[in-house]
Amino acid sequence: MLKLLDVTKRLEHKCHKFADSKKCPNELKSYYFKELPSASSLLKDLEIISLDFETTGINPKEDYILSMGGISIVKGVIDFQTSFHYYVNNSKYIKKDSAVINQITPEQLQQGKDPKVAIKDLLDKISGKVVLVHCQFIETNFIKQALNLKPRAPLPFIVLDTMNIERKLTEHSSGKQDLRLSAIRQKRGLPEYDAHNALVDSLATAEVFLSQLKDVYGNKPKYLSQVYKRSH
Amino acid sequence: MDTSLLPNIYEFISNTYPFSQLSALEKDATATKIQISYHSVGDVLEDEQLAGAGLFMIRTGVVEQRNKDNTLRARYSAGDTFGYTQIDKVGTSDYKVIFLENTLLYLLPKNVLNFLIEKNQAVGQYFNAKEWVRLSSSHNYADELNANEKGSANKLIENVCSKELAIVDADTSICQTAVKLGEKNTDLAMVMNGDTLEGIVTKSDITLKAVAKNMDIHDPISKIMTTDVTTIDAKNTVFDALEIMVMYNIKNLPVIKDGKIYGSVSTTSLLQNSQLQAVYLCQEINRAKTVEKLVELSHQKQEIFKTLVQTNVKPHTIQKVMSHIADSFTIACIQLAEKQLGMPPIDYAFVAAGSLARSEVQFLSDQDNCIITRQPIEKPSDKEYFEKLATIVTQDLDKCGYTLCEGNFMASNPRWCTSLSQWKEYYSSWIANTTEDAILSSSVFLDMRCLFGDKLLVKELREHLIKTANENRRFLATLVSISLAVAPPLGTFRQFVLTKDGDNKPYLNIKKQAINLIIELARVYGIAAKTIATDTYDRLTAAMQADLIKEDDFKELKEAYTFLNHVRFKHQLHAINHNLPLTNNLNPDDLTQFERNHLRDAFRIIAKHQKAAQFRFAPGRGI
Repeated sequence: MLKLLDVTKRLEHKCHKFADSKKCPNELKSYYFKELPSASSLLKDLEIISLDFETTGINPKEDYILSMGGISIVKGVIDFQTSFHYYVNNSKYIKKDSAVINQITPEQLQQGKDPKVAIKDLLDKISGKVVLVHCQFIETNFIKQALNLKPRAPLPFIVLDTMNIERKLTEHSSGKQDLRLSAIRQKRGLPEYDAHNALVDSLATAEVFLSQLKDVYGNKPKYLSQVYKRSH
Repeated sequence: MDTSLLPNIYEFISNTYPFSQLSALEKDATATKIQISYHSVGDVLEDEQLAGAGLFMIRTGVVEQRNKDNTLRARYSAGDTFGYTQIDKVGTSDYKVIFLENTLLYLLPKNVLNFLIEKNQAVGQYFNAKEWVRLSSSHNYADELNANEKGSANKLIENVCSKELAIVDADTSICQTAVKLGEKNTDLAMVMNGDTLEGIVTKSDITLKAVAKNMDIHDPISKIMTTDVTTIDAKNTVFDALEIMVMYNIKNLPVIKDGKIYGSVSTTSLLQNSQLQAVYLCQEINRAKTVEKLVELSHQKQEIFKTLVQTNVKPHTIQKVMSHIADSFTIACIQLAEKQLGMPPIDYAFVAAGSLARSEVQFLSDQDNCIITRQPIEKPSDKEYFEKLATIVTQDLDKCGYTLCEGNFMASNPRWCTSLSQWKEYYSSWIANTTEDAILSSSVFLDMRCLFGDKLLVKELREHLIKTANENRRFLATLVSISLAVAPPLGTFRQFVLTKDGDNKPYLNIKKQAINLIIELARVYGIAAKTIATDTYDRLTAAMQADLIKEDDFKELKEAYTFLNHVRFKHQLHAINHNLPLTNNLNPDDLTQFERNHLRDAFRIIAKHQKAAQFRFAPGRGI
């Protein structure tokens, strides 16, 4: 249990070590020296940033981020004023078929942020915070790729994952689990969001997260360490 | 932020009244200020979570509100909003919110809401904390919109007549006259000799008198014109014009102003106005010589009802017009019966009971009536006369679409065709030996209005009722307790409902579960205020003047009553237009979000006043 409580301390330690090493580019060091929330924090006292990327595919080495969207949960409430969304100017890489799925046009991308600026702006927002995603590998691997980091490098924020939480909630039930966001929402009676963009999906993820917390903890206090454990 | 990124939230707000009234820019601003929370079954919001928070919108799920005494206040489901009345409270809330299903809840924070209220009139009006203000701002009735539109029968001819004149002279050919009529797009050609009107020719004259008779169309128009023309002065009223048209059976009238030809009016143009249509029908009823004619005329009722609802006339006016038509039919039937049976042997009054007595007839009303005679009916021949009269009248009314009363509350029932003294005894016994059964079986006669004959008989009986009732407080207490047996459906969500129809589909009976409750409250207050009036609005007014209810109470009940009737008529119109059976049962799925929100307000008003009446008229308490 002591170990679990220390989960964020361990990450912080890794981050500091990484920042002191040669592997860490100079311009990223300040992010890695940020203090992380303690594992014994209550969730309601933390800002949790739900994050979603739209990408051209799932392989960070071949594919690119098209847009980033996010929204924060503050004091247990999703607050629209914190929402953000921008396109990333990877227009030269856009594939025809993914453009159809994502409804993003090359024109929109051309008006988007430069990829380097976009990832830095994102780190400004999320470093030292708690980040919520659905299926963490996509977002974390794309961030590492965008920052030119090795796959095993740490990231300077704590990640919670609604997909893993859902998997652990349902792993003992019979039948095949459908862990897609839309399927989980349907199962939980949340409204169907047929639109697809990074902001809507980050909102959809945040709502699922609130619903999962109610399921697991009811109205009892929720500690970061417990939820972290269910996310990994 | 680009709101196209949030199509779901944006769309939801756009469809939630009153935010649907916002401009695109205001909607954008609103969508980006929403806070979302998630609650599971059994969660509770109260006090500081509600007080001063803002407006809650249910995205998915169901909640209920409970008052401090734990009575149900309301239930809400997806698309509903609540919390506005708590926006200026601090610390404690008037009610708590309990989640009946897992619920995704949107909150529009207080400061944003206040900003919108200030900026947008529709939102401002909607969020007036008083239910009746909300109800009264829910509709603009045609007859309230514009003072000039009032009493359209009293409008001057010069304001409504057509000023397109097809002027020819006596030598103009029939053919040229027809061309002229076409050019001016009018039905009436004036044959002039200088300033003098020599004659008129209508389109149908040309068809019937010339074409049908194979006349030479180059013959002069004077051959077929009507001389001896009836005209009307431009300063006369529309009603005057109708009178003349009905009296002389003419469809087109030349209009004269300052001695000169000015224009023309036609029945078709005048009758496009729904209220005139009714006036016209009543005149035709008065002139009908046979029951067959009456039956034929009775088919117009539905058209008039449709036009009244479609043109958004106030529900109270609709009821009055429909009652006036029912009055006319009844009187015509009585006159025809008297003509057949001879003069009545004793003075009598033919009396409307129930909804017609209150002038609140609507499309579904059946007939409730009775006869009061000055002296007791003793001679067998007299008895026979009234029996025949009552049977003829009630049967004829049935043919005219006023169906026979199932409870046999009709003059044809010998029990309800009797002398004033007997009627007084009926009342005395109902009032003195108050039992719920006695009242239920006679409540239809608690409202009476004289339709024909000796009005004084009815007045005397009404006064007897008022006096006796006020001497026996227990009677009013019983009336209240009967009424309270039905509660408005406060616990409404998704299915509004507490009742199921034959197909086991849930529905709201807007008459039994709401409208009647106000009528009954008004009746009790009216009797307590010692008014012999029977109209629900009049009774409430009297109660306010007698200080039995406050002005705000009056407005609440009045607006609730108006709104409920509005919803009822609108749904009946829909049924007529789609050939569905007419009922008072509303399918909750057919109600708009707007209607549901306002119905909830109306139900809350009723529940509140039921409580107040129960307290005021409780046995043993003075009024």
